[in-house]
Amino acid sequence: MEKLNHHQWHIFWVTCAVVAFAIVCRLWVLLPLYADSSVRASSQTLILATAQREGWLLSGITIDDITDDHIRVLYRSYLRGEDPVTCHNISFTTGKRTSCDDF
Amino acid sequence: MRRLLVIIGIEGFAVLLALYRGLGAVHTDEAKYLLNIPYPHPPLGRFLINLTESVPHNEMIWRIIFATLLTQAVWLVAHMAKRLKPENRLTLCGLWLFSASVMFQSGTIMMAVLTALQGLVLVWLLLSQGNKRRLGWIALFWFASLFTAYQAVLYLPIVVAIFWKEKVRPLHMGLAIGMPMLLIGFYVASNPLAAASFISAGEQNIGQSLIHLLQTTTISWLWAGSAVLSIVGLIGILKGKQWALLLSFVLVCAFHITSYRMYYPVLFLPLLVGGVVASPQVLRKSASLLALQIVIAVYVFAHTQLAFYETGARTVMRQVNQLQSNGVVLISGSFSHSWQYESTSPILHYKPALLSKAKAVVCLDQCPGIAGYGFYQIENIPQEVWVRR
Repeated sequence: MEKLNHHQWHIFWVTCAVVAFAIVCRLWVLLPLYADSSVRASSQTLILATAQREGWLLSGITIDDITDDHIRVLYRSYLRGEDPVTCHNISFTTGKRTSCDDF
Repeated sequence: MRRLLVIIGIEGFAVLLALYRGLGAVHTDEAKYLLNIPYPHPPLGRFLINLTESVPHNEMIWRIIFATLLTQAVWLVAHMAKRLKPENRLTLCGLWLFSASVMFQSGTIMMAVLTALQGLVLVWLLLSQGNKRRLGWIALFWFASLFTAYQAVLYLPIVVAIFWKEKVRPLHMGLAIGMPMLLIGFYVASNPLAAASFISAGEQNIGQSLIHLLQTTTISWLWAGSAVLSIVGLIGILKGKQWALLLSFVLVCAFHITSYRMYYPVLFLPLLVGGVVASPQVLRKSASLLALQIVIAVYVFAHTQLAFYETGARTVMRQVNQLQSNGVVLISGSFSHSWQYESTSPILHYKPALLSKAKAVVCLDQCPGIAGYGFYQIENIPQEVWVRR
């Protein structure tokens, strides 16, 4: 325990570094949303329209990737038991949704 | 042996409080934590809760754990009060156990309960000596508190005071306290849904008069400690010149004013205990205070609506879960996350175009096109429910 006490600050900083790394990775994916207001606006419109059409709950949507021509989202259906997750690409140009497997 | 009996007695009290809560419904926020739905709070608490998702009676287990944590925290209260006279110490423990927020929030699976307990630990650290050797752990605890629920930030003045008391170098203190706050800020930025719910919570009381908001906050403070602990605690904070506790108290009040929820009163509780410990002379008539606290607690309990009925979500989904067919459940109208918690099938918003995928349809609102699609309506159920033929 004394040895652990000796390393308490190391444990704190390592925890901060690990969490910071995970968050930076996530922010990197979302960077186009912050860097370009038109991408932000069109992503929001696309996601809301797709959710409306597919009956999705917004809380189940996670943005997985943003490229020049499409946005990739994961949809998780939260329920009691294992949550099914599906992956979809939504085109910026056509607004059409396709499964990631078909891409 | 006597201590063991007291622990068992308190545990019995905790289980009763958890059962009382469990007879009602799963609140939408509880469902969010039980299912680990990623908003509004950071992931630590809900991740741990979600680990037991597959365990039978998961919900009741967590109700009992939360109730146990909040009621058995009385031992920490007793430890904080170890320098007090035995009768004052006993009184403070009684004031804790008979606080309305302990009695009514014990069995709820809410992050506010965990935050209040984390606040109690921080108040204990503030009022104890020898923190120099454990500042790294305190920083880590602060980090964990923030990543359990954002409301932990309300106890920031206490954390600053703990580090300040130990004369930590300003840069070191700034990093130890500021880094977790910076990371939680980045976490919000990386989670657009959390950010959106943040803004929505902040705007929720816009349009209400200041008088009404102050009234709600005052009731919440009085309710938190069944009036007696609320008043003596605040007097203690002021008499003991506990500026850190007072600042946190002001922050909790401000938080109530901007985004009141019925499960926030418990956030006052650790501050009130801190006030009494810092200025024990407020317990001069300890026996009368404890008696009054018990009377008020019983009065509040007797005048509370006891909701011993299950919600429509539970009744409906019990039937729907028994259907042999595969498919999603469509729900029309606005519904809470408790519907997802009760369901073993994916839930989607109702759209006539999705009927081909559905095994059941719940119409909380109009369901256009349902009658002509090979579904029949279940009778004797509180909601309009259609299942596939």
